[in-house]
Amino acid sequence: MTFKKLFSGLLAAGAMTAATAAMAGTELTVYTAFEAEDLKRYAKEFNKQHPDIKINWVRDSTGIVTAKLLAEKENPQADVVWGLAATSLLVMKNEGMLSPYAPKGVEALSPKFRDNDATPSWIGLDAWIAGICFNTIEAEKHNLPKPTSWEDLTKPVYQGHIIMPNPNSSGTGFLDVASWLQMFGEEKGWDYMDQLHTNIARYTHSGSKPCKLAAAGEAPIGISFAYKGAKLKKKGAPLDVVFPKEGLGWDMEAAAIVKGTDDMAAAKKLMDFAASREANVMYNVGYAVVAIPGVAKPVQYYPENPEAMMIDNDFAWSAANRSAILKEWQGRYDSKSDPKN
Amino acid sequence: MSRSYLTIKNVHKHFGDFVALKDISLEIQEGEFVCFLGPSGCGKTTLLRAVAGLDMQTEGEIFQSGKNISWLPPEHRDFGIVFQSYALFPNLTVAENIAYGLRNQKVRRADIRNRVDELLTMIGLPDSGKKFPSQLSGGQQQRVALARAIATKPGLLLLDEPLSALDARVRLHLRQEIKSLQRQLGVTTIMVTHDQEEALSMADKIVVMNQGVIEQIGTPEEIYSNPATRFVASFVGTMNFIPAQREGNRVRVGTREMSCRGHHNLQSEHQGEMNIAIRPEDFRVRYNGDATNTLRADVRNMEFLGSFVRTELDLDGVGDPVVADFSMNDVRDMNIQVGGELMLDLPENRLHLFEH
Amino acid sequence: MSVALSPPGFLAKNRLGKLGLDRGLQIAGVVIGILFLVVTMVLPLYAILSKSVENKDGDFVGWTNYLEYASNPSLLNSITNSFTIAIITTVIVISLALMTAYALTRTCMPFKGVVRVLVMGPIFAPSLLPAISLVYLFGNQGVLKSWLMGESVYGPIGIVISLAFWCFPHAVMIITTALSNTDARLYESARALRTSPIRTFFTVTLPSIKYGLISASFVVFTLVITDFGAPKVIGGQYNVLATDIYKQVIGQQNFQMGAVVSVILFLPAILAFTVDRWVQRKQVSLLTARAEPLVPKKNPLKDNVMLLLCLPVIITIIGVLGMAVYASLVTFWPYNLELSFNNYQFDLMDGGGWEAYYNSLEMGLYTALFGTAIIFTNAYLVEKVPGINGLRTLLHLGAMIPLAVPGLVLGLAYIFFFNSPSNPLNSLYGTLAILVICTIAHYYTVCHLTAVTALKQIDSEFEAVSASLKVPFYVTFWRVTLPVCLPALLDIFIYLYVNAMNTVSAVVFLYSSNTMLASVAVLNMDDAGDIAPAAAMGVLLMFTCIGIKLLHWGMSHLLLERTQRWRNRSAT
Repeated sequence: MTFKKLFSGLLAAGAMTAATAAMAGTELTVYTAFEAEDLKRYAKEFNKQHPDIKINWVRDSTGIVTAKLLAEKENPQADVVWGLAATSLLVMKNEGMLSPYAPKGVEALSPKFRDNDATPSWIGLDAWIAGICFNTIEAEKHNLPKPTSWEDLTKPVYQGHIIMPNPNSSGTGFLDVASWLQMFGEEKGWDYMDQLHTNIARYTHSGSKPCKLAAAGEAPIGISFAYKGAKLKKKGAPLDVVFPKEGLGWDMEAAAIVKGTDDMAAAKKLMDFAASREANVMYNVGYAVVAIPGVAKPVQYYPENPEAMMIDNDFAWSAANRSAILKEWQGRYDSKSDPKN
Repeated sequence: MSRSYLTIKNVHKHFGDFVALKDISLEIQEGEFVCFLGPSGCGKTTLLRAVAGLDMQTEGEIFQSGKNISWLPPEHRDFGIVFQSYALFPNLTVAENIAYGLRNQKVRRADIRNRVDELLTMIGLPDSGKKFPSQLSGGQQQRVALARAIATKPGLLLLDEPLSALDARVRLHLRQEIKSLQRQLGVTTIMVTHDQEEALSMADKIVVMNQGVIEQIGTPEEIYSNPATRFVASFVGTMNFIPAQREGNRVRVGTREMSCRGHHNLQSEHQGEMNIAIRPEDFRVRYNGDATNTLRADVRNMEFLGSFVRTELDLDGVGDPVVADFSMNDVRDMNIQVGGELMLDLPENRLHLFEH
Repeated sequence: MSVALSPPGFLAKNRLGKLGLDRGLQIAGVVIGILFLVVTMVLPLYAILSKSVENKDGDFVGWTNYLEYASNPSLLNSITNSFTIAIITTVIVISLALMTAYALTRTCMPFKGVVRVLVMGPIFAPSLLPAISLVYLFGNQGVLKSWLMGESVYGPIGIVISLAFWCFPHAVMIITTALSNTDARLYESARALRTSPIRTFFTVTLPSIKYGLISASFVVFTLVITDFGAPKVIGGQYNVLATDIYKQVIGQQNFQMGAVVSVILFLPAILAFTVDRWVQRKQVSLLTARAEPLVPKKNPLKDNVMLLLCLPVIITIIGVLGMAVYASLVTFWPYNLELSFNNYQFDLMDGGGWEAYYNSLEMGLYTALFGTAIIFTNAYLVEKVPGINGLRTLLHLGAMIPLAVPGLVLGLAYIFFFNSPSNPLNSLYGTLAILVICTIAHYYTVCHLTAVTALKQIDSEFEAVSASLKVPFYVTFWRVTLPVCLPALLDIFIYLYVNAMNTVSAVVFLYSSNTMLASVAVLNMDDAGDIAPAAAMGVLLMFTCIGIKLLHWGMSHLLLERTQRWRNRSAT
C-alpha cells in the first residue's frame, strides 16, 4: 500500500492503465465468492499454467458480489467472475452482462454444469449442496433425536432449536427455499415452510452462519450447506452433517466472462483453466461434486454418492421466479418475525 | 497652511436597510490627531474601517495624500492599526509581534532587530522582547500593539478604542504616552472613542458623530465651549437645558427676560419654544446688583466632589432642577447650604440657544 | 440573491481589478470549499433521491416505489421497530449518562479519574463489538444467559443493550460539558435560601442543563436509528430501517427500494438534526453569560452513594469489553476454552485478513490528514474571510448537511453517484480514495464545528492587523492561526482517525477487494459465523484506537509544552 495507490483513482484513467500495463504482464480482476481459504490455492494452480497473468481477487459473500456486479452494470470493474452461484450468473445473463464463450474442453462437462446455449454464457465448476449441521453435544443436552429428513425438522421437539439462512440475503437460504418448492410442489412447499417456521429460532443473513452457530452450540441445528459442515467437523466441532433423504437442494459455483473486459485473451485463458480437469481436481478438495463426471473422489463426511441425492434443479425456473418467491417468503415469515416465536 | 492628507468625500455606508454612514465628508491635515467621538452605534468605527478598507463604503471616495484609495483592499493602503482587543498574536513573542510587518518587507534581519529594539525602548518595555503577550499587563500589551502598528512607519495610524479595555489609571497614563508618541513621530492619527474626556485631552481635532452623520468638527475647545448642536452640547460635558420662549431677539425664562445678545445661535430664524443651555461651572453666584440674567434659586441638594461642590437647584419659574458647580470658596463665602436660597447669575456670553 | 451575495460597489466590474491576489485566493478557496461539499454530499444525495423515484431501467416512475414500500407490512414494521429501539435506548442512555456525568462533575467521588477514562471505553470500538460481546454473555451459550429469564438476546433486547453501551460515552461527554458550564453562584444562592438538595436539582441543575440534555438525546437518537452494525449482529429477526437498506441492496439487489428506505431513514435524522441545531443556538447564547465555575465540595456520604450508583455502569463497561477480549482469545467457544491467538489468524478467515487491518490504519491516517486539512481550511474561510457573506454562509450550511445523513445512506449514495459511467470522477470508484472521501464527508460536521469554535476564540482582528502590515492572509494563517488552533487540529485529527477505523455504515457499500477494511471485516466475519475472529478484529481495532488516543495524548502534551508556552496565562 503506497501513497500512489491512494491517488491512483485520482489519476486519469488512461495514465493508470498505461502505468499498470508497463509494470507487469497482465492482470485480471476476478470477482468471486469462493471460500477465502481457497483463493491462494486456486490462484497458485492457475499460475502454474499462466505465470504471466496475475489474478486480483475481489472476494465477498454471494449476495454482496452479486450486488456489486449489478451495481456496476453500467461500468463493469470485473473481467471474469470465477466462483459465484449459477443463479446469480443467470441474473447477469438476463441483464446482458456476460460475454458468451465456449472454453476448451467444455464438452467434457456434465450437461447440468453449463449454460444450455450453443456458446455458453457461463460454466459450472462444482456443486454447492444443502446439508444440515447437527451439534451432537447440544442435542444430547436437549434430548433431540438426530433428524434424517427435511420433514423431521417440523417436529415439535425441535421448536426453537433450528437456525436457517434468510433467503432474502443469503444464496444458500434461497437455494433451500427453491429446492423445497421444487421437491414438494409449490403449495406443499409453502405448507412445509409454515410448519418449519414455527421451529426456527432465527434466520441469519449468511448461509454458512447457521452451520457455524451450530458448531458453536448457539443452536443444535443449522440448515446450511455440506461444505461448511464437513470443514467444521474436520476442525473438531461436535457436528454431524445430515443429508435429508428427500433430496438435496444445490447450486453451482460457476464462472463467466464479464462483457466489456479489456483483456479478452487473458479472460479466455482463465475460463479454459476453470473448465479443465486440473481445476476440477482442485475443486474436489472441498466439494464432493464437480463439473466433469468421474473426476470427483469421495470427500470426508459427505455421503457416498452425493450426486444421486441432488434434486433435478431447474435454475431457469428459480431465476425467473426469484422475486416472487422472495416476496412471498417475506410476507409470510419476515413480517411476523418476532424473536420469541 | 498644510494641505489635506486624508480627504473623505460624501461617504455612505448601508448594511441592508440600515444606514450606518450618511454623506460623510471630512478633511484631515498631515500630522493631525483626530478623534471620532460619539455614542456606540454612531458610525465612528464604521468610518474608521472604511478608511482602513476593512469594510468598504457603499458610496463615496477617500483620498490619502492625493491618491484615490476608495476601493483598494487594506493591504494596498498605507496605515497601521491598533484595536481595543490589542489583537496581539498570542503564539509569537513581543519582538516577533513587532517585527511581524517588517519581516514581510524584506528588511535585513539586523535592521529588523534594531528597529524592534528601538520601538521596545520607545514604548518603555526594553526587556520584554522575549516575553509572550499573555505575560504582559493590558497596558503593556496595548503598547506592544502600538509599536507593531508603527513599526513599518505607516503614513496613517488608526486607533480603534485603544484604551477602552484598560482600567482607569492605566488609561490616563497611556493617554499621555500615545499623545506624546504621536507628536514625536508626527504621524497623522485617527482615534475612535466614545469617551469625551479622552477625545478632549488627546485630539487636535474632534469629529463628533451621531446616527451616521457628523454633528460638529472642531478643536476640543470649540467643541466644548461652542457646541454646534444640541446633541454635541449634551454629549460633550454636562449641560443644563432650561426651557425658554423667544420672540424676535428677546428670550424669556418664565417671566424674566434674558439677554443672549451676540450668541451665534440667535441668528437662526427659529421662534417660540427654545432651550437656553448653560454648563454647571458657568453659573455665577456673586450677585453684582444688576438684575439682568439673574434668577432666584432654592438649594435642593449638595454633593461634595473634592475641589468643587455639585449643587442641585430649583430655579424660579423653571420646572426641572438645574445643576451648578461652585468652588469651595463660593460655598464658604456665600454660605450655600441645602434648603438655603441664592441669586444665580447666568452670564450672557456663556449662554447657548438650542431648538427643542 | 445576487444582490445579497455581492455588496454593491464591491464586486462591480471596474473595481474587481483592484481587489488583489489575496482576495482572489480567498474567494477561490470558498468556491472550492463549496464545490467539495457539492460533489461529496449534495450530488450523491441527489443521486439517491432520484434513484428512489426510478424503476430498474432508470425511467421516472414517481411515487411508485414509495407506494410499493407502503404496501409491504414487513417493511413498514421496520419503521415502528426503529423508532421503538431509538426511543428506549435514548431514555436509558440519557438517564445513565446524566447520573454518571453528575457524579463526574458535581461530586468528589473516589476513583473519579479512573471512571472518567473507563466511560470513554466504548467509543474506541465499532458498534459491532458490544453486540458480539453480548452474544458471548447472553447468547444461547452465553455465560449469563439465565439473567435474561428466558428472553432471547437476539432481538430488541440485544440491540438496545449494545447501542446503549456504544452511545453512552457520546451522551456523557455532552452532558458533562453542560454540567460544567453551570454558574456556581446559582447554587450558592440556593443554599443561602436553604433549598433542599433535591429541590435544587430540579430547580437549578436540570433547567441549566436542559439544552445539553436535549442535544444529547437527539445525538443518541440519531446514532441509534442510523446504526447498522448492532442490529445486524444481534438483531435476530427484529428488522430495523438500517438493516432493511442492507437487505434490499445486498440481499435482493433492489437498489430502488434501498434508495426508498434510505430516504425514509433520512427523515428522522433530519428532524433530529434540526432540533439539535436549534438547541445548539440556544445553548450558545446561554454560555455567553459570565459564570463562576462550580467546584464540587467533599461530601463522603453523597460521594460514596454516587460511586455505588455508578458501579453497575462501570462493571458493565468492563464486563462487556472484557468479555470481548476474553472471547477473542478462547480457542473454540464453548467446547475448548483454552486461550490462544488462533482467532487472530485473520488470513485464514473470510473478511480480508490482516491486509484489512493495515488498510484501516492507512485509511484512518489519510482520512485524518486530509480531512483535518480540508475541514480546517474551509472552517477558516467561513470564519475569517471578510465580505462575501452569502458564499460563506452557503459553505457553513453545507458543512452542516453531513450530520443529518446516515452513513449507510451516504455510502449507497456514493455508489449511485460515483459509479455512474457519465461521472468524470468515476475512476475513484473502488479505490482507497473514495473511502477516505466518504469518511471525511460522513464525519465532516462535528470537525467543522470544532474548528469554527476554535477559530471564534481567536481575536477577530488578526486578519485586519496583518492586512495593515501588508502581510498576506495565508502567512498569518500559517504563522498564527494554525499554531494557535493546534489543540483543536489534534482533536479533529484524532476524531477522524478513530471514526475512520471504526466506521462500518458509510463504507460497507464502497470497499473493494484491495481496500477491505478491518471494521467491515468484523461485520463480514460475524456474518459468516466466524464470531470469535470478528471479536478478535474488533478488539484489535479497540486497542489500536486506544493506542492512537494515548499517542495523541502524549503528543499533545509534548507539543503543548514546546509550542504553546504562551498559553500559560490566558490571553485576555
